Amino acid sequence: MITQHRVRRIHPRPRSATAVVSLAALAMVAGGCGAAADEPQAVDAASAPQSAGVPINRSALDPAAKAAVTAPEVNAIDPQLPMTNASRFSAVVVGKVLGVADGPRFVDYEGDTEPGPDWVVLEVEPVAVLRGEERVGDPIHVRLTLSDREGLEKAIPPGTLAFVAAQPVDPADDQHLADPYAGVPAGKTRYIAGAPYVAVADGPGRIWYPVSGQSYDRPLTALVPGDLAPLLPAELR
Amino acid sequence: MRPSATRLLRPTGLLKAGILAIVTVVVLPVAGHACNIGSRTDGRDATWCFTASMDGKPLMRDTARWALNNLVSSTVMTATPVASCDPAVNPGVDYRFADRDLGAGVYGSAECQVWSSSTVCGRYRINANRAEIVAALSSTDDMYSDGAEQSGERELNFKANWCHELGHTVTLEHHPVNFANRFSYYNGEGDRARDCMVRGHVEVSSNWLRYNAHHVSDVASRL
Repeated sequence: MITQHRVRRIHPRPRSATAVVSLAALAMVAGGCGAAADEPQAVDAASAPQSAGVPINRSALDPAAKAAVTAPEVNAIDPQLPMTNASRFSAVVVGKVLGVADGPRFVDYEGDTEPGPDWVVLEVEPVAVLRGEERVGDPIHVRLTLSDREGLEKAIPPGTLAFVAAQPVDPADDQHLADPYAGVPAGKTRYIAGAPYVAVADGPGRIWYPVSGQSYDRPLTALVPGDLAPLLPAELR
Repeated sequence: MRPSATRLLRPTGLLKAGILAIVTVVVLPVAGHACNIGSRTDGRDATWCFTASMDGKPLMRDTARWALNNLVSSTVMTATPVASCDPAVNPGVDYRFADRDLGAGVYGSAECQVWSSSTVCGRYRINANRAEIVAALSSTDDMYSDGAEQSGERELNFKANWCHELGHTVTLEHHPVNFANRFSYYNGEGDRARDCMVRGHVEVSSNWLRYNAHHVSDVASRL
């Protein structure tokens, strides 16, 4: 088994004037919230969604348009709007997408060296931590069961608002991976999110689930339970 | 256990019922026609193997074999096991069965590893997310799990997942709802409500069936 750490920055992180202007409002929210472990974390003024209203380019992930896409058919539960089981997850965040990296490769048989990857890793910079110990502004890395990094990059512009409910990967599963740390910088938690628990804003009034392809005509914030909504930046509430 | 009326009347139940109604109205009119998901296996004669992730997991292996036998007995497909997934040994293997972590809320998946053309897949990996299937037995995250594992429920859900994913490889798509119990609860939607292509958890009381006659006919006409 090969264990390697990749530090990959796919996209720069532009800071817009909008983000700067919003700092004061965000700071006011932050002042009223604690940051205790396993409690919803205060909103930090360091970042704000850049382009939550940018439509998703779904055609970039259309299997009919690109045979190499290996988006799976998933047997999954439907998403909850709003989410009702946040306590199950180690990290529940609303943030902006920074980029996509190649993730681990699954080993099907002894000596398997077939090309991968079999996952991608989505990098998300939280603008609100609704549950867990992650910090606003400190990117998290989330494994998704998609392998088409290029398609996903085309589909989801950097800065797109995302909702992620994730758990750390089980190290016991590493035995079947050629490169279990692929796409995740050294020292960072390796998260995984299932199809119903990773969504992006497809424009201001639509939610799109990149793994399952499902979509709903609701704003992304509709996923946030009511009792956690005060933790969102003011501009998202 | 079937979902109770009070459960359906909870706010979340009403919301899901609303979503069901919308999905049903939009999708059902076309559900009886084209069921192609955009890919299919490359012929009626399939070979298959277990990946290393299936080692030491007899229930997963046995239920996968059951699902393959069900596919063969129900449809025009044949399925022949091969000892190794290594393409140097068995270059034409069609199905690799795997236990993979697919994240919360996901029980399984069918992913094409080798495309023969834009719609034909030369090799699928057929995944079950064992940890999540087992977790659903004793949780209520999936509204159709009663949260208490019953005798045979684990085996049933492995069978249902493999059957579901193999169905995708022979052109079958999801049913428009994932409510394995819902239709039997409402008693009147027929076999299609409880067959393999319904998503999600299956309770032992659901009168779960396999591929419905319509889907069996689809497979014969398309492969």
